[in-house]
Amino acid sequence: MIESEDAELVRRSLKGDKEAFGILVDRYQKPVFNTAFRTVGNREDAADLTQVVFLKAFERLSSYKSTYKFFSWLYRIAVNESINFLKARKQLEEIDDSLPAEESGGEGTSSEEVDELVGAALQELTVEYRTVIVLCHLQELSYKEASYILDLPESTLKSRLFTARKLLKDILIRKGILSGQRTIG
Amino acid sequence: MNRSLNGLLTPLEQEELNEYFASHADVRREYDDLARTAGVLGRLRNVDPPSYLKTSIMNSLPSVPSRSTVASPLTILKEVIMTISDVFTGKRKPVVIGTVVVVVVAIIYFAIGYPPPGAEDLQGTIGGAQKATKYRSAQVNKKDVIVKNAALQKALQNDKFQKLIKSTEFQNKLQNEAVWSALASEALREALASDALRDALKFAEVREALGNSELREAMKFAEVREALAGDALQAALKSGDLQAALNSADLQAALNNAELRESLKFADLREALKNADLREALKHSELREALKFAEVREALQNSSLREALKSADLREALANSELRDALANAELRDALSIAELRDALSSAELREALASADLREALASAELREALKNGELQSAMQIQE
Repeated sequence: MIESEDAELVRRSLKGDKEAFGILVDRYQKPVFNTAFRTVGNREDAADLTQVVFLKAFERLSSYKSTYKFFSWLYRIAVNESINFLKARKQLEEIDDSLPAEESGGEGTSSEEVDELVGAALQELTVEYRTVIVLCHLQELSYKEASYILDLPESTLKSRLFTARKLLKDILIRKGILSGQRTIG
Repeated sequence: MNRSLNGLLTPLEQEELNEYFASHADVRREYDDLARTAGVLGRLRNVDPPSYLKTSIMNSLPSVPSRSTVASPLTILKEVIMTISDVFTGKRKPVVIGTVVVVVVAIIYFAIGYPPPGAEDLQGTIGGAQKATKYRSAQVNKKDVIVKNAALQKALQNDKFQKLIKSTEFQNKLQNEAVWSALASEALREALASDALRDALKFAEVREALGNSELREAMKFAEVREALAGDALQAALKSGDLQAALNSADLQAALNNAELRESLKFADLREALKNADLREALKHSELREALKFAEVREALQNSSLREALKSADLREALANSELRDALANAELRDALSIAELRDALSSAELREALASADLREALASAELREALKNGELQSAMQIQE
């Protein structure tokens, strides 16, 4: 249903109907913003990237093929733009060790703190693994959708997701966010 | 475990996994940790974008999507080519087409801009109209269609290239951004000039193996590339000892200590680790990680890949990070399975022609592809004045 609505909105946008494109922006700015935010780790940059993503989507709208879902196509642009942004910043290999392990969440850790701690742990993964986690876990996309967005075979995506989870688990344990049989919060 | 963590197992499969866990406490612990990791991730909130964002986006948009409403000069040029092609194939009569062409060329004349560009500005276009007056003749002949891009023009006279551009598979792949970017990159074209690499890429197993990110990452180390070509690793992989040892903490320690190597419980691995090259390679965590994947182990035992890796040229080509990164893309790997493309990549001249953006643009046209099949347009495009 949403897919056919999107296709119609795309068709109208191609004719120059900006209101139609505005509906697509309303519908997808939040997931695109969150994908960018969890990939680049900074809200201001994520907002800039979201703007670039929608601008590029609008400019390339005629190349969009309805064989794919519109949001998958949009995510693909978002992931590529985020990766390009990180490359430009030369932060791909940068590791943020600013959060000491003793800041681990105990029973009383607030949801904001959980968010900050886990978000920071996510930034320690290389972008290759981070994007898989963002798409499969945070955006809850299917293997098929994530494979298309990342341009990877499904088998590679699955093995990468498995490795990403293991690496993240190690980071969470090292930071004391995850330990024993108890999680934060 | 992956599928279970994603909730994709059937009740029966989950039951089987639970039974397995009952007798493998260490695997159960690992699974529990991963499940808790997933749980923690599930608690990450989706944050709201700033309130000004939509307005900023909408204000940044051009008035219309750029390519949707006005045909580009190149599109119009393609129309001219098609029109001429129709004359050759007898679908239209030259006397009628003459008028159409004059109108179209007039549009091009103004679409490109006034005053008209110099001859050098037309370089790189397929079917570039030389002069508007040239098309006023009712009698259209092959000399009316000229390829100005020198490399492309030369390539069009080459049998290998003609075969390639007629390949529907290639025509489709060329429209993929990753494939196009690879062919447009001089560094990548140079890497693909390696005969050994192109020979290796004709095997599906090799392409599949190179699709594994961990293996590609490991290949950045010369020691790893050497070890992958060596018999010691093959022996270890064949016995299965290496696979078992990869999860053992003893392996890493044994790589630096002869006594510990002797104490390893895996006989075949003890034997294989006598090879210094293999020991050096296994010191790289990237290789150890890659070898944990069944598909990598299987691919490395594939005779095609083994043979290919024995070539120093191939190993050198794989040292190129740009190539390894590009090979992460399945579409590019698929494209390299096209024999005509590999053939064309063997020639420096054809590689240069493949980098022409105009070729890609032209081959995006269904009509042009159709015309290529009948050979008329193809021969017309070869003419140079």
